[in-house]
Amino acid sequence: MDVDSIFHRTYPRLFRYLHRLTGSPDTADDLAQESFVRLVSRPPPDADVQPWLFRVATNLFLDGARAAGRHRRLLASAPLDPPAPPLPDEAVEHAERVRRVRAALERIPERDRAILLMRAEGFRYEEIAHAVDVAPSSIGPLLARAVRRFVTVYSRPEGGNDDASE
Amino acid sequence: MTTHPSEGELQALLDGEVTYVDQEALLRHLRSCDGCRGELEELRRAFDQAIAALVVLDRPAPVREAHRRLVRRRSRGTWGAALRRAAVLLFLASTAVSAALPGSPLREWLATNGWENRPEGEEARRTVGAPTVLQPVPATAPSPTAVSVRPADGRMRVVLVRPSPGLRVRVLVADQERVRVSAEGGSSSPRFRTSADRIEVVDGDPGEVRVTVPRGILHFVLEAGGRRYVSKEGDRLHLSGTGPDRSGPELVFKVQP
Repeated sequence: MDVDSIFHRTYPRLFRYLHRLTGSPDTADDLAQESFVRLVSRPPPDADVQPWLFRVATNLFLDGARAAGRHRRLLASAPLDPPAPPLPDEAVEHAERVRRVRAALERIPERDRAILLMRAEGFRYEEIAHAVDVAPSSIGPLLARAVRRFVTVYSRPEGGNDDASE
Repeated sequence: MTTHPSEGELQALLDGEVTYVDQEALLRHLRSCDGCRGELEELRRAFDQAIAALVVLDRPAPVREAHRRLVRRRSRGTWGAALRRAAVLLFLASTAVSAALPGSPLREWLATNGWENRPEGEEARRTVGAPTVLQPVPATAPSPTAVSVRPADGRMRVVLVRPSPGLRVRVLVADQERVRVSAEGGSSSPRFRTSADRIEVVDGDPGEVRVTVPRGILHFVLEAGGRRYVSKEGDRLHLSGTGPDRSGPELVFKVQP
C-alpha cells in the first residue's frame, strides 16, 4: 500500500470534510493525522481506502462529540479568534457568510451533519451508512432532513428567531 | 405507485440511489403528480443551495506540513516501538530478579507497603485501551499542585480551563518521559483532571503554570481559554496568538484576556 500516494490524494479532501464538520482547522488536521496513523498501523485488508479513512475520521469525531460537553466544545465549535482590527467590507461580508453557514451546520446533530458533508464529498449511501453506522435505507430521509434544516437556518433573515419552527 | 413517495425516497432518487425498478415507479408517479414534482424540485434546490454555501468555509489544506508530520511519526514509531519493547522487557526482567532475591530492598518494600498503598495525587496511570475519560486527581491534604502523565501514543493536550487573565505560563522541553504540569505561587491552587492524552488545569489563581514536555513526544498542544497557544515541532515549541509568533525550547507567555 503506497501510503504517501494515498495521503496526497486523500488528505486535502479529508481535511476539507473535517474542517467543515468541526469548524476548527487544528482539530481537522488532528483528526486527519490520526486517521492516517491508523491506516499505517492497522491497514484495512480489503476495504476501499478512501471511504475507510472517512469512516475512521467520522468515528473519531463522533466519539469526541459524544464525550463530556467540554470535549464537544473543543471539537465541534468554531475556534475563538483574538480581537481584530476593522475589516474591509468584502471581508466583513465573507465573515458573515461563514458565520451563517457555521450556525446552520451546528443546528444539525453531529451524525446528520456528517451525513450531509459526506454526501457533499460525493460518497454513496452505502459508504455513508458504513461510516455513521446506520442502515443505507436511512440515509435518504436523514440527508433530506439535514438539508432542510441547514437551508432553513441559513436562509433565515437577519435577526430571525433561533427557535423558529421548520 | 399509488401512494406519494416520502421525502427520503425523493432524496434517494435525486442522488441516484434507487433501484431501476423503484426509479421507474417513482418517475411514473412524478409524471402525474404536481405536488411531488414540486417537492422534488424543492429538495434539489435546497441541496444545491447547501452545497454552494459550504464552499465559503473552505481553506487550503496544510498538505506538506501534515505529510512531514506523518512521515516523522512513522519513522519514530518503527524505532521507538522496538526500543520501548526492549526497555520494557529489560525492566521487567531486572525487577523480577530484584524481587526474587532474598534480602533485596525491593522485596522488603513490596512486603511492607503492598501495591495498593502507593502514593496518590501525583500521577495518573495510563489504562491501555480505556476511553479518554478525564479523572479528577484524588486530593491528598494539601491539594496537589502538580501532576505528571505518560503521554498516550506520544500525544498530549494540556488545557487551561478558565485561566485567570494574565496568567503566566512557562512551557519547556526536557529529557523525561512524562508531561508534568505544576501550579506555583498565586492565591489559590487549581484543580487537575487527567486522562491518558489530556491534562486539564481548572480554575484557581496560581502565579505561574509550568509545563514540562518530553523531548520525544510526537504531538503536544497547550490551549487556554479555548485558544491554542503552544504546539511542538521537532525539538522546539512554537507559540502563537500573543503577538509575533515565537519558537524555542522554552517559552514564557501570559494568557490573553
